[in-house]
Amino acid sequence: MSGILKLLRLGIRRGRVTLKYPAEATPTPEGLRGRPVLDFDVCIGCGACAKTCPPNALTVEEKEKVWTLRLFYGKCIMCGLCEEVCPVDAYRFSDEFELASKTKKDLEVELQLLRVKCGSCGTYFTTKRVLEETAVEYSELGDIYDEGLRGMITLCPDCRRKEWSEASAEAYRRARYGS
Amino acid sequence: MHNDLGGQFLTMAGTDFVDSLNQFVVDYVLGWYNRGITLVLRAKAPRGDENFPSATPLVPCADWYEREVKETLGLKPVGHPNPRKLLTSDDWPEDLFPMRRGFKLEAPPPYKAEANFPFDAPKEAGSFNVVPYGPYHFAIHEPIYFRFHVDGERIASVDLRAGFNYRGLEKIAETRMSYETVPFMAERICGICGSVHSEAYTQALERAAGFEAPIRAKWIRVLMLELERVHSLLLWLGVATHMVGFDSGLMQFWRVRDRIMFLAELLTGNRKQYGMIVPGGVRRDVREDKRERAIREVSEVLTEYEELLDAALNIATLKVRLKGVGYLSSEDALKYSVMGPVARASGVDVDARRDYPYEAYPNFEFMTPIQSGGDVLARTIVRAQDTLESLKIIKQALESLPSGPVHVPIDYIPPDVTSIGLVEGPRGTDVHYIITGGQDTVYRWRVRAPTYANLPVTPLMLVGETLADASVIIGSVDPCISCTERMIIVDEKTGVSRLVVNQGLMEGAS
Repeated sequence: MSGILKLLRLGIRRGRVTLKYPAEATPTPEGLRGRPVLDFDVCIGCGACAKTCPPNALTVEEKEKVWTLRLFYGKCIMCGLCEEVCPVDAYRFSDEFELASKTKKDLEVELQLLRVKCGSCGTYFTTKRVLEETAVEYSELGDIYDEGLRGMITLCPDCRRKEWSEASAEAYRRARYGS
Repeated sequence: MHNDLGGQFLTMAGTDFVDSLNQFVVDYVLGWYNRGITLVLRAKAPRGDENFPSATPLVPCADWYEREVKETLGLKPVGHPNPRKLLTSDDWPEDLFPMRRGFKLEAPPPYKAEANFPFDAPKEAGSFNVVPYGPYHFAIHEPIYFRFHVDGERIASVDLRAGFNYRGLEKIAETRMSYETVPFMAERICGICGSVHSEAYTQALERAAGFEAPIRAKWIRVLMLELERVHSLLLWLGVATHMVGFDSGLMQFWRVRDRIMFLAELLTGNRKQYGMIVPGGVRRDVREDKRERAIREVSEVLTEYEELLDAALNIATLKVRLKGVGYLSSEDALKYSVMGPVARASGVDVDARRDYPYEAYPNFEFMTPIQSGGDVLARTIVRAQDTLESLKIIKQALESLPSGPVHVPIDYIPPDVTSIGLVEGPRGTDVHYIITGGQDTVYRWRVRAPTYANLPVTPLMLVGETLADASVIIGSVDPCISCTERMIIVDEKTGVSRLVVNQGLMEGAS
C-alpha cells in the first residue's frame, strides 16, 4: 500500500484529538506550577522570596513603618523558588494559568506589613511579624532562651551586635579578672 | 589544529579581566569528538593593545565568534576578512562594548543617528535581483534576515544578517543573578530545548565545583533531555512537512508530539519549562505510580510513531521533493564544525552523548543514525531515526530508574575556574562556557547554541538552489535564532505562528 493511503487510514483510525479550547475546559495536570498565591495572613515579611526571585517579579520596599511586598505576575516565570525558600509556607501554587488581562493592575498584588522600631536606637528595622515568629522559634529553644536573649531580639542588627559584643567583653572581663 | 588534526570548533569566548589582571582573555575551545577530548587555547591581550590575530582565514567557522568578540568586547581580530556587525543593532555605537565589566546594564540603550549595514555584493559578475527574506517572513519562522541575489529562480549568492534578538542575557547573569538562579534563565533562552541549556550550564558549574550529582538525579536528567529531544524533533518533522506543503504530515507528527507533551506534564507538572535541572540534582522526583504510567505511555507512543513513520515518510512525492535539495558535503561539514543532525546527515559521526559522555548516558544503549546524502532528505531521515532512538532511551531510563536522593546541595564552588558543559541537544551540541567568580555569581557565561555553528553554512546550501526551496533548506538546519542570540522567548509554538509582512518583495536590481 502506498504511503498516502496508509496515512489516510491512520488519520481516520486515530480521529480527532484536539480539544475545543477555550470553549471546552482543558484539564490541568497534578503538580502544575500555575499562578503562585500569597497567603497574606501567613507571610511574616522576611523578604527571602524577593531575594531569590530570578526575574525580579517580587520586590520589597521598606519605608519608615511600612514594609511593602509587590508581586507582579507579568514578570513571574512560575519557577517556584519563592515557594521553596519561604520559611512559613505562605506561597501555594494554584492551577490557574490563564493570566492574560487588559489592565496591568490585575496582575499586581501588594502586601503591606507594619515595621517595628529598634528598642535601643529607634530606627525601623524589621516587621512586627518577623519578631513574633522569632520569639516563637526562640521559645522552643527552652533554657537557652533567657531574659538577655529576649531583650536582644527587639534590637536592630547594629545595636544587637554592639550589645552582644559589650556583653561578651563584660563576661570575659569578669571571668578573667573577677568583678 | 582544527584543520590538520581534525578538531571540532566548539566555542570561543572573550573575557574582560581588566580590573584584576589588566588584560583581556580570549579562549578557543576545540574538541576531538572521536577521542572525547576538549582543549582550551588561551590568548591574552593587554589593555591598550586590544588586537588579536584572526583565525577566520584558516578556520572559517571562527568567523561569527570573532565578530562577536569584536563588538561585545572591543578586541580587534586582525586579518578578519569580513568584520561586520553580528549581534548588536545597526544603530549601536561602534565604541560601546556591552560585555566589558564597566558597561552598566541599567543604562538606557544608546544609538547613533546614522545606521547602515554593509551587505555583500553579489559574488558573481552580472545583473541580479535582490530578494529580501526575513526578518519577518512567512516561510521562515525565525527572526533572521537573508538577502538573496537571484538570477531568475536560481540563487546566485546569499548574505545574512542576524542579531535582531540580542538582549545580553549573559550580561544579566553576570551582574544580577546567582549560581542557583541562572538555570532558570538558561532554560528560558529557548522555548524548545530549555533543559538542554540548563543542563549545559549545570554541567559546567558542577564540573567547576568537582561535584557529582546523585545517581537518581542523573537518570532523571537524561529523561528530561530525551523527552525534549523527542518533542523537538517531532516538532521539526511537522514543520518540515508543512514547509513543503504536506500538512497532513504536520497534523500527524504533532498529534504524536502532543502525547510526549502530556508525558512531560505527567512527570514534571508542566508542558514546557520544567525547571527540573538545577545545580546539585533535580527539583522533583518521579513518583512510582507516575513512572509506571509513563512506561505504558512511552510504549504506546513508540508503536504509534513507528506506524506513522511507515506511512508518512514513504510517500514518493515527499522523497522526490526533498532529495538533492540543500546539499552540504562532508568536507564542508567538517570544515565549518557543523553540529548535530546536520553533520550526521552529511556523514560526520558526531554525537556528544556518546563522544563526551555525561550524566547517565554511558548506561544506555542507543544508536547514532548516520546518513551520507547531505541533502534535506538525509536530514529528515536522521531526525526521524533519532526520535526513535530517543524514545527507546526514555523507556530504558524509566524502566531502570535507580533509587536514592535527587538533590544534594553543592558545598563550595571555587572562584576563577574555567569550565565547559557539552550537551547534545535536538539541534546539535550545546556548549556553555563559564568562568566562576566570587560572591555566588558567574564571572563569565558564554552560551554557544548549536544553531550558532549550523547557521553559517546555510549560504553554502542555498547557492545554486531555487528560491522556492529556500525555506525548506533554511528550515532543514532547524534554526533557533533566539538561542543563537540568547534572548528569551516563551512561545513554544513559534514553529507555526505565521507572520506575514507585505512590503514589495522585489527590490531594484543591483
